[in-house]
Amino acid sequence: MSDAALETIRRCFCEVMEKQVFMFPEWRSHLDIPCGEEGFLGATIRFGGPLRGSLLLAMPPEVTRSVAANFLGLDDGDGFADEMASDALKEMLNITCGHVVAELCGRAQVVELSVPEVSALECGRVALLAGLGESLVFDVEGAPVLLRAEFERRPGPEGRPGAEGGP
Amino acid sequence: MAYNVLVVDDSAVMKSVIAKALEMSGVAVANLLRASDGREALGVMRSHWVDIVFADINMPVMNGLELVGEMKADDSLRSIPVVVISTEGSVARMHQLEQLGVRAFLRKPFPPEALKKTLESILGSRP
Repeated sequence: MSDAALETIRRCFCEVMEKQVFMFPEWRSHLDIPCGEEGFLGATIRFGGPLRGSLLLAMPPEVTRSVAANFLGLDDGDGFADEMASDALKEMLNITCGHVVAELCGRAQVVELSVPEVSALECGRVALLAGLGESLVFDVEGAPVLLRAEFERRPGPEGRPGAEGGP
Repeated sequence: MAYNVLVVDDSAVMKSVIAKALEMSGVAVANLLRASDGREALGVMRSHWVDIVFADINMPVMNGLELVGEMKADDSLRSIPVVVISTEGSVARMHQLEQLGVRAFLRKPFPPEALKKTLESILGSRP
């Protein structure tokens, strides 16, 4: 994956987090992934069209609960926000993905998105993924957050769809 | 005048966000109806009076584009204005929505004022 594409993904995620839930992710070139009791929640979305691939967004459950609370304008710890945590993670990924593919493909072409799916991820798996080149790791309110893109069709140097093949 | 608004989104959190934005907009809402996909939305519209629909595109079972297509094919539903709220923002998608008869498009994330403006421009222009 080109540096330009990775930078586009980083910028889109930060903008969406800031505008939608008033949280300010700080990108880190390296971040230890501590093993909390709850592990991580990971959401995956696939995209198709001129650019095909998937995005994974993984956060510790306590961060997903804060995201949900901010989404809904509720206080942290509100029971309703806690219920919405998994849904909020999916929606953050959905919005981020829409912005990422629009930036990478240009706005002239339709890109189809799948419905995001959520599953529990062990922190060892998140730590492994965080060490790979296609991954971005952020500090969100003191907790590690992973965003990882996988392309079936590689973005070119300017972030536009480019050569066929893996990232 | 108060309106019956139908929000169609598979995301419970987005349905709540839209409900909150409607509340903050000051627009009088008589009934806020909710559905989680296009098929459920058609059922709601066939059993309730609906003034306007806010629909996502990317949903399971029946997506937003299929929903609008079904509405346009149904004499009793085709005049209900639809606003699409989605994360997608391509010009090609806008054109597709326009051709389907969608009245407006809001891209997530959107400020509550944008929803109010859209609602007023559509319902305020109704005969």
